Amino acid sequence: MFDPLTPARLVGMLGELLRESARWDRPLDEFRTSQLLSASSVARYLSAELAGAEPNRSWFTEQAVALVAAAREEATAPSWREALDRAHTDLVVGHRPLGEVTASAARAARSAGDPAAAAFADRLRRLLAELADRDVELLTAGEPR
Amino acid sequence: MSDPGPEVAEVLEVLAGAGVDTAGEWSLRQLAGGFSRHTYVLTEGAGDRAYVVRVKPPGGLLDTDLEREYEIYAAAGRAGLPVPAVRGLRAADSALGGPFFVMDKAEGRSPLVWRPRDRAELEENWRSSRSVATDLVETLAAVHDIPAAELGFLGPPVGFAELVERWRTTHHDNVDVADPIVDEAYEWVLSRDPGPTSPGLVHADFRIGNVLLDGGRVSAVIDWELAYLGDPLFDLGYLAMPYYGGKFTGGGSPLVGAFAEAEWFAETYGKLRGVEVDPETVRTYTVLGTLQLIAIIGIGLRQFADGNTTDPRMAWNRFVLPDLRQDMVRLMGW
Repeated sequence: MFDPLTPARLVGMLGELLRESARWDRPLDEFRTSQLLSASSVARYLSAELAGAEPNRSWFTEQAVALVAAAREEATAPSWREALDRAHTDLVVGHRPLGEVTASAARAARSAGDPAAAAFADRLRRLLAELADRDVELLTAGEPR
Repeated sequence: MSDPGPEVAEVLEVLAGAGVDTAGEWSLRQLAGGFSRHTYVLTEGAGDRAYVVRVKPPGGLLDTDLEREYEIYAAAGRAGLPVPAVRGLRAADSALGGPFFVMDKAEGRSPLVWRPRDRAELEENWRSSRSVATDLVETLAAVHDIPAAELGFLGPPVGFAELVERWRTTHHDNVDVADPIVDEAYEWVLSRDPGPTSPGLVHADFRIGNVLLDGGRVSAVIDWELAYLGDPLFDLGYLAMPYYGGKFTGGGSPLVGAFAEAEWFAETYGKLRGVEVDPETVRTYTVLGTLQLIAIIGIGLRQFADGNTTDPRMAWNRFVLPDLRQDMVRLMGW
């Protein structure tokens, strides 16, 4: 979910490569073959990612909103409460990338220095760990059959 | 003799300068693999004589110094380590697309741990003779035992915090997508400074894929471009990365690097060098090694996005990132 290089750019790359390959007038050497195999693999994993990315994103956003909302109930320190308010708005409105919002919230929890923030940080890490598992699981559909 | 082309001619010129007899019909072919370096094999006739040419191409993954890498090969060779003997360097640009150096072609091949057959062979070796594991642990201990005085050209040792910041800066310079797992992992690593250590030569990309095996024995350690002077335990942590044990979208070997049990490797290494191997320090370096790989992949993705390379292998690496995140969160115990 936090990967650079957009699907659009990847598809563009595949298109360019297919075009180049159609014009390739020499026997494929080892290097070129490995590039084409990588491109084929990119197509498989991208397809798996596109099929499952949105449900993962929705699930994560929903969980993160609930986590932040619960932490707001417990927050007492003004700066920590403000950070949570900001995170909540960002998550609900969805105008900032999820990675950025989550990273900011984790940073704020680290620097808040109170037990409630530390407990939030732990819960956020567990959520991120679950997301990591889901992101890997999603790619298994791209494994060669 | 037919015209071998400017690429072959330039490589032969370097070999001739090193006193190699270059008479004969030579040809050059590029090997698969290699991100920061392109690797070619120069062969004479039916393959009676062969050399490897390491080229630093434009748009390579890492802007590491080729001359420094050449010197490391030379120093490792002088120390009696299994490395291909280097023959000569061309520091200027070349018909191959960049500066290059030439070295002997070592026998053997690098296992690909993500290929089940290669992994099974390594695991079988561990269950039987353990020749691969034994050679590797002895080789790594010997790498770390090269006296630092012989490695003066590498500059001063790189400290822990400096190393962490080097990769964190590299990551942020190249990746513009915020990643909370990566951010938190850097903080976790920084909070676990192992303290003062006795510096040694760190290969920094020590894994079975950078080793040539011939008949179940290590014939060469290659790809020294990231090497530096620092805490040798980094190499043990790096080696323990699940990804380098063949894990990708799950799976992989329960063995370190698919070739040895982790405890055996650490214990044997400790005995060989007379040092204590703290498993917590190794765990820290496994996470740092993973962050290093994530940063390097980030460079490749950036170069791809900026149009500096069209190599689809760079783009493919994007799909390794979810596994690396999963490995880190497990290692950090989240």
